[in-house]
Amino acid sequence: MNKKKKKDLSYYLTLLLLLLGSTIMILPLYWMVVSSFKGQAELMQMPPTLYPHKLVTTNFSRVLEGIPFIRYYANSLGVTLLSTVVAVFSSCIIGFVFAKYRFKGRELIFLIILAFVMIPYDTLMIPLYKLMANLKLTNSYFVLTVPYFVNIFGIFLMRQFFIDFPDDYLEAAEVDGCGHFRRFFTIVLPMAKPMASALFIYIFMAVYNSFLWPLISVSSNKLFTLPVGIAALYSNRGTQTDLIMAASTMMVVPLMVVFAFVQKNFIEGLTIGGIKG
Amino acid sequence: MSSIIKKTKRKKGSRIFLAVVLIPTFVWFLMFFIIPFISVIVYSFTDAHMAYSTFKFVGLQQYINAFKDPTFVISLKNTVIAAVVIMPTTVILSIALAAGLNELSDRLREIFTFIYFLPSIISTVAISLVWSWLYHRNYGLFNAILGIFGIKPQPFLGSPDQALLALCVIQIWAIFGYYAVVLLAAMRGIDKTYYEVADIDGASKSAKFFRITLPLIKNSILFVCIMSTISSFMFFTPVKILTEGRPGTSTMVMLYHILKKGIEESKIGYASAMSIILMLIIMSFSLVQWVLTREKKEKKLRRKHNE
Repeated sequence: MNKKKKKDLSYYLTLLLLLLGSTIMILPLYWMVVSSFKGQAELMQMPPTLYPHKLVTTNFSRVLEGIPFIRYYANSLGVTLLSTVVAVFSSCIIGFVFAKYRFKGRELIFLIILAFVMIPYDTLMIPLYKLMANLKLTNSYFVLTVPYFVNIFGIFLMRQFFIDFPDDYLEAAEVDGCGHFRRFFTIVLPMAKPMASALFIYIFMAVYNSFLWPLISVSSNKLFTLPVGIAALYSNRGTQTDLIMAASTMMVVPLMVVFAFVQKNFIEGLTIGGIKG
Repeated sequence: MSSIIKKTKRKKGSRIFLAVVLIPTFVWFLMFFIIPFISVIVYSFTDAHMAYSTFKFVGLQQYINAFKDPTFVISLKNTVIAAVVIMPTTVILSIALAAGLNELSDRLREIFTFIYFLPSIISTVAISLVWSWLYHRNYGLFNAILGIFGIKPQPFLGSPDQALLALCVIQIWAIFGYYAVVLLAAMRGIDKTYYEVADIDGASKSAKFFRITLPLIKNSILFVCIMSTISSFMFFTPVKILTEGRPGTSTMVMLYHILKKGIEESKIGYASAMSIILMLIIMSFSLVQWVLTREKKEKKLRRKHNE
């Protein structure tokens, strides 16, 4: 595109610094994976071995036998997928309504919704927990999913997107006698796909990694998501580093592989929020 | 005639559509935002407890209790220390990283962005566990490295002097790559002609960086300042998993203290009062950002108007 940058001394210095920094970024992750393949004896060796001299794979099977890891995985994936699909859909339809429909109090309602962004949600955990407990909803898939069904940032993003959406398409559909629901599903939704998929990634990561709310709202082992399950494993058997590292590896690595394949869209999707979930 | 019928039919259809979208949305906001928000305010003036359904108003007593509670004051102090350590470090590192990435060819930039961005996709729980292993007093990698240089093993998370700082390092490592990507996007959005004009004037590389790049991405930098400050005030996961506020109260932070009082000890009223204090602190930061970016926009508009 633009002309090749001149490669002077400062360029190579930058490259060197970036490489050094990269080792610091990768080292903890490398150490996690390597440790998960070491036996307890090798883990306690000082100085530590840089790679497993004796490859041990039983750590993983011991995690699967010791805790209902598969169950946590299924819980995490199920809860995250459901929440994300609903949240992206609701963002699209609510954003569309606020962008293209006229009704009394529209601007005021939208301003109020935006004002909610200012409230740090973590400070509402106590009353939310009390409310859910009063309604006897704690310890259920309900509390793990429904609080994520509407995403204020998503509404805002999709409204911005639909404001620029050409009215011609909508009017053409109207002339053809297309109902409001059909118009939304067949014309509006498909066109929002690029933005919606970025939003999907953003919300997916936020829900998949969320820890505080599942930790508070769920106490039954059967409903644990991965972060809560692994945190519980650590508080019960913190000294068994081989197990902890194997469990962490199993949680993190599949996601990292997916990330490597879709990195470009992924990073775009995650930075649309400007906030780490 | 028929077109009038069609129009009223359309209007009806639009009403139904609006109702189907807006009513569930309202119910959700009521349940997950409005009621919790109002109740946290109300509870903060009461002696509400998890186990009882009734409560009585105690005025400002819970707020007075908070500032009389030495653990709360320490948690406030620790949280401020964490923010003071995390915010400037994150901002400087992310600016430097973004500037470095901006120098590279597309291919290299993609690879390095990937690497520095990795922690942002990883659960903070897993990050905390890996770092606790790195910090391990007897068998940790860090102490092994220090050993090479003849430095004796450090307790890190086990020492009241080092623990908070060690937790801040985890946080910085985890977030600065993310903010660098945000800043990089801003840097790449700068109009190239600025640099071309500067080249004609024979400006040096550092002059271009400090006189053009930094001023033009001021808003994004401000955004990173505010967001990293807010995230420091919400510091929770590593504390909960690794130290639980210990040793002593050296890593006790606000959100952890609030949840401990509210959930474990069931003191809803007291925890709500502390939540309100935390909320006000965080909202004041958001307000600062809002005012500053707004002022700038208005100034720009006024200048345009005057021209």
